[in-house]
Amino acid sequence: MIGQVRQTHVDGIETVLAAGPPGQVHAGLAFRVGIADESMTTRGLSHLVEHLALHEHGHGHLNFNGATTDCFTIFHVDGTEDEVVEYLNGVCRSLRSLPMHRLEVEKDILRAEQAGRSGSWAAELASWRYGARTYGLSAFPEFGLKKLTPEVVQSWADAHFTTENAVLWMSCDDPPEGLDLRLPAGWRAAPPPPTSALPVTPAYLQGPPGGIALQSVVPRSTHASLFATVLGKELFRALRQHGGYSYTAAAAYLPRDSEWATVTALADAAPEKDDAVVGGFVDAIAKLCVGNVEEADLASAKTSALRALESFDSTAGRLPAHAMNLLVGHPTPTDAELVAEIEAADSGDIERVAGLVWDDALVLVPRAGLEWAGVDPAPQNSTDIVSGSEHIALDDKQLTLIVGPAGVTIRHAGGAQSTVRYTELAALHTYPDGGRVLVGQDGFRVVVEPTRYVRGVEVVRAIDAAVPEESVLAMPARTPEQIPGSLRLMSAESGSPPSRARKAAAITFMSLLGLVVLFWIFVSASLTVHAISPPDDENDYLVAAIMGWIVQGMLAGTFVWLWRQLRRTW
Amino acid sequence: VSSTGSTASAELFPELGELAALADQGDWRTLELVLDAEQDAEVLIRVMNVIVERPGVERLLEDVVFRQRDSALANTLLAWRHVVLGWQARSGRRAEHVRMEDFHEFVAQLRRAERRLIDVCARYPAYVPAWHVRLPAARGLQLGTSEVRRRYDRLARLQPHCLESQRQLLQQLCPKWSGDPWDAAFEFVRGCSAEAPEASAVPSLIAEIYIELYMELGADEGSRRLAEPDVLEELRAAGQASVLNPNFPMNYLWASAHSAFALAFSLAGEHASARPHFEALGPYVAAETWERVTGDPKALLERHQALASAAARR
Repeated sequence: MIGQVRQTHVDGIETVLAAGPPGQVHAGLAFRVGIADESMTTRGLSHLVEHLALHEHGHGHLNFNGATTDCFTIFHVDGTEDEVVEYLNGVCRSLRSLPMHRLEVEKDILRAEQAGRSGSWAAELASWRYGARTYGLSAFPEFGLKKLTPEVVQSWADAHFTTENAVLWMSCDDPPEGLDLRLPAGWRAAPPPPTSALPVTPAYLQGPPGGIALQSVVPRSTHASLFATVLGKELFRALRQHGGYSYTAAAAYLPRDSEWATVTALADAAPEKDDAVVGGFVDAIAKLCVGNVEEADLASAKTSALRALESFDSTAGRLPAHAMNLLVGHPTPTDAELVAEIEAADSGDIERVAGLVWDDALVLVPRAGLEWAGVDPAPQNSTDIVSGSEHIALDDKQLTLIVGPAGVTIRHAGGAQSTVRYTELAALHTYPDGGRVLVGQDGFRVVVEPTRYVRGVEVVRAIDAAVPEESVLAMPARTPEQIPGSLRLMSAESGSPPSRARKAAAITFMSLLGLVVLFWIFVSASLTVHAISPPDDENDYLVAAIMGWIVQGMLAGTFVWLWRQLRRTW
Repeated sequence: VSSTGSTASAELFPELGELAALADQGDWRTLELVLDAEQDAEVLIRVMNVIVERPGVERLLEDVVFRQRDSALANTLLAWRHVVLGWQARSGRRAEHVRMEDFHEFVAQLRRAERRLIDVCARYPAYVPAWHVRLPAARGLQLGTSEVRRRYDRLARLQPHCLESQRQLLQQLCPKWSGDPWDAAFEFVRGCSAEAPEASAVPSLIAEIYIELYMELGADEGSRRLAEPDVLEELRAAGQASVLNPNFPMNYLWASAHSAFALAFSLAGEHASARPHFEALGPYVAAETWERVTGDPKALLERHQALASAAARR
């Protein structure tokens, strides 16, 4: 029972203790810092600290792990008292002075980890809801890794992995002997306030075929948690059991910070059943929104929730949640309070949460959209444009790039437009070939491919000059196939802007080609003169003259084409 | 052209005319009493169909749902009226011939209907008429074949062998709507016919699908196809199993089912087989069945009736 949780301090760190199963100690150290505290250009910082702090435990037999989430970085361990002491002491020792000789190796490990991770629909929805910052950052790769220096990493650790910003939990009556958890002094950081990139909800996004996903943010509550269980049962019955339209149909509830929780629901679709899945999904939620809750579903949700409270090591099992509540300042109710809340929940409570969930919903749908169900599309375009010089793409006359002092806009005559203002810039990705991608804090992107514009190189220079170094993320080289535009091969080899030597070589080549063209004009003209007034009856000169002019046309065409291409790059 | 099935003949069934008059007079209390007393969902659908075809009935229904927010009947009727108005705006023309503003009106009306029906079905998942109206709504909103199918399956679990609803799904399954080959449509109507109880109107779906096939193929190729022996055999068997069965009851589906057979046999040039259907119908041929294949149903009908009786004399 939560009443038996004892609060104390170990080396100044707030600590919660509760008796667990004998012989084994579950323990963990959680810090109130995570992905949501980072930025696009430092994305990966907390994760990197976590890896460095765990480095010395890499080869033991101990059952331990680390995790970095939106709001927390967590180190946990199961073992004997001695093992737990050794693990926690090691983590704190490393945090005080991170093993920087491991920095590049750990970065490589993180990159490998990332390569194995595929983009999830939850992250996709988060980036649309929050933009390229706070709780939307988890949608983006750990872009910051490359430029993180030892100084930056250690100062992040010193600022966030502090005594005050940590909570320790242990499933034992008293802290074991020998703990040395000294950390730098600091402060308890509140969870970052969420940013918004979604002006109106409910809204939908067009996703790929294969299923539907919904995400909503609602106040944390027992009722919302019960709602997710009930919705999961409703979806499973409607989409899996009755129709066989889906294999997976489920819903989940997860606290986001001290006040809010994320409710997610997902149903995949059997081939060619996408439309039925969308229809059944909408009907399932609508049913709960009008309070038509199956009594058996609610009763079973309540029973599972109560059973979780009653289980043998429930108190010790919920210590991590308790610790994280302490870190974000969310009160942890007593068991008695929880039981009372669960038991009192009725269909009206589920209906109220359903209304909140639907009002705040962001839905990823395949194909046809959701206007028919009263849901509008999430904005696909920036609302404003910058003023500045306009550049029309060479390979698509409908596409205009506007580069101004305030930022960059790319717009298509079809209506699509995307703007990133320098004051709202999350990051500038730079490719060695000259390609630039500006990512706004609202998640909108402007891709600048210098090979697509006559004055592409100038444009790239202007953007580079306007963006401070700390916002720049250097990206690895792209293969020629990844670079659009007619001059990609030349550009990819030479880099951008082209070197002086290459410029000189090109000018020499063009001059020689020019001379050949002039010479051939002379040859063709001579042949023509002979053809018109042949010295004898033979007609060979006419054929030769025609051939001569054909070759001349090809030579001149090549010259003009190359000349234009070169002007585009320089 | 009605999107939601044929209008039953008011001369045959005077009570339908009386209900229509109640709707025109705005006598909701009586109307509600009569409709709420109807136990057979398929009959209820037929009767509701008559009411939603009344011009201007939406004014009465809007007034009623304002006062009876949770009424399944009133909300379904109003939603159905939106569907009728939507399909009227769209007209029966092929998509490329529909004017842009008419198409927008069509979609707007169907969305209005659909939002109301989502709510009715959420509150009263067993209310068959609402599921029925969600079929033409889903078709018009292009929610996809698997979704129309899901809605039909929900309905069929509550009310199997509902011919009006099966006609809706048949429309969706036809290549002109679904873009799929004919197989699914034929599989569906043959399945419905096989499972239908004795002397049911359901096997008339066989006649309907061949009329659809005729229209898809065009007059020459269509007539040839329908005149093939196996097709005629299938049509005759379906007629015997349904409207020509001595136990077939005189119900609201009687005229449209007979008319479908009469038309299918006429299009096949098999006038002798069309004759019993024309004879049974007498003056009560369902005009809308014939409107589907011609702009001048009267002329076509008279010609084929004459051919049928000539075939009888031979």
